Amino acid sequence: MNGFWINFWAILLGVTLIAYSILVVRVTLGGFRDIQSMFRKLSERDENDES
Amino acid sequence: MVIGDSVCQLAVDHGDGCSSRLGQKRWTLPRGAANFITLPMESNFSTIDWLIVGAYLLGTVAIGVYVNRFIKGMGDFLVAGRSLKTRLGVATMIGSELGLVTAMFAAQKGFTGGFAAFHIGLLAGITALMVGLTGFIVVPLRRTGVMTIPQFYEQRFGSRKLRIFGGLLLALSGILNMGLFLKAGATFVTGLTGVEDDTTIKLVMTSLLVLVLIYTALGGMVSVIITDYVQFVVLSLGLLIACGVAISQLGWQTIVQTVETVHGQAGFNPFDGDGFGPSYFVWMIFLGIISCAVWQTAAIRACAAENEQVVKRLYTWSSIGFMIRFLIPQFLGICALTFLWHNESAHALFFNQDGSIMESESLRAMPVFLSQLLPVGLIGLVGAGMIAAFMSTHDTYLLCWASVLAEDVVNPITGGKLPEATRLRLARIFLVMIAAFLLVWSMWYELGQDLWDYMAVSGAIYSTGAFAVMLAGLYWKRASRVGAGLALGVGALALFGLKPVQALFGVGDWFKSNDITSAHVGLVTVVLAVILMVAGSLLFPHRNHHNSEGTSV
Repeated sequence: MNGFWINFWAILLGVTLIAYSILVVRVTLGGFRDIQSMFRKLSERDENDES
Repeated sequence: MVIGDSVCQLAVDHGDGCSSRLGQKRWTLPRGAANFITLPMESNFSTIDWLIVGAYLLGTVAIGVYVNRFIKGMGDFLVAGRSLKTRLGVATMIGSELGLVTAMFAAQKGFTGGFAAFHIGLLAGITALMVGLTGFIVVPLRRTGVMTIPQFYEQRFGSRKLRIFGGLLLALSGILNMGLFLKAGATFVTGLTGVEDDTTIKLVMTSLLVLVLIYTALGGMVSVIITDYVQFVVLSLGLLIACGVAISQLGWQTIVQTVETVHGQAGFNPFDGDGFGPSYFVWMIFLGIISCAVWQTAAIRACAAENEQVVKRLYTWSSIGFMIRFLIPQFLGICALTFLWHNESAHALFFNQDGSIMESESLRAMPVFLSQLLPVGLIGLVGAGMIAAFMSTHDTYLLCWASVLAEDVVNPITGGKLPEATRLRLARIFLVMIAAFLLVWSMWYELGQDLWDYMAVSGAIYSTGAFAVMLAGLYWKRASRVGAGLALGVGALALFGLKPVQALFGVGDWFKSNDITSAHVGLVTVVLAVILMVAGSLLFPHRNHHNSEGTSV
């Protein structure tokens, strides 16, 4: 019975680590662009408020 | 162990062990408790690592000062002007949920429960994925346009009193929930850096809290988002590298064998009664749903999202994060178990003579393990990431509970007529008050159980009732304010899952002799909350019913 669980947790850990590595790369790059976009949006709104 | 130090007796090879390499020195992990290696327990944390951590801390304060210029009102302070996009949303969601405290309690679960503890992360990931794919709770919640969950209570049930009651309960539950964050943080810093002096640790933790206060009070949600993003990047890299190093140094077979030796079958099978058991499994399914869809700190991300599609994408992608936030620290906890079990110096500190785990020391296991495993530079990166995680969880939680107290308790009490500038000032005052409370509570409270179970129970005071109220409020037209009030009130029963509360009411022995765990208490509270929500709504119906779109009919 332990054999099943050992294999199950090993596969889960491996797949998760790979998926997380991909997510980290994607979110790191994309998130940086989103921050720029957020600042732009907040700045434009402030300029509109002032005008 | 000082890697590369001649003091280490690392060149020992017992033949039947699993040889590995750390730095330039060869070391061995023998199978069997009688065959130990003697290693001095001295942290690898050096001046370079302190510099890395210091640079990070200065950077976070600079961010708070910089983004303060964008904060023009409560909408910016609480939900960043609703300008959050998917990828940044994922980073900030994982950033705030994968905190130092999460890492600590998850590692403790891995240490005390073995691989079977992975079911907690697996269920958290599956439930978050389901929420993301279906939009369960979070999409209709975003549609209502509310900024906090108690605000939803008032909007849905037309009762300001319910909002105040819900707000108080949420803040109480949330503040208690984060009550031991500082203690966990201090344990981590002590374990990782090797600094044992009590005064120094208190000063470090207080300074960290003050830094969090500065940038959160200045920059609100915008600075929270930015620091969460930075923390996500730094901590994710640190953890992934730490896992790789741990596997390569310890060896997979050694890890599995050690778990088998210490925990037996219960270390692998989550349904085994000697370990977690079926009721704990069901309790984790419920906690998985509420931690991503009902818990205010996660739900506020849905409220801050640009639109409903972003909400769904945010949760779908974040499901990996919800899983990983348990899985990786739990795995590091298992690696700590392996390392410390085979280390003569550490064995006596973490295990009893009969080989069982010393519960009181289990929280320290992961940071002590990392302090021995990681080399200079990398330990600083992980340390900075973890301290960043400590701060980012604090900023999210402090902001959340301070905002709830200002927006959902004080403002409604005064008739909802407080000017925006006053509410903003109030939220900042509450930030400081909560931080002061945390300093006192973390020093006073005796844990008496696993940190994760303390957090699950303290969170359940609010979440058990809130789950029933949100479920009925969003999907059931006949849900009424009486039912909602009863469901929220019964959540307080969850407090009986805490060991000190059981002792206070003299029922600790009764709970123990009947094998009633915090999971049983939590599940009973959920069922009661749902029953009371339905019964109260049917017996005391509200005149103005509500549809699932969030508008009165």
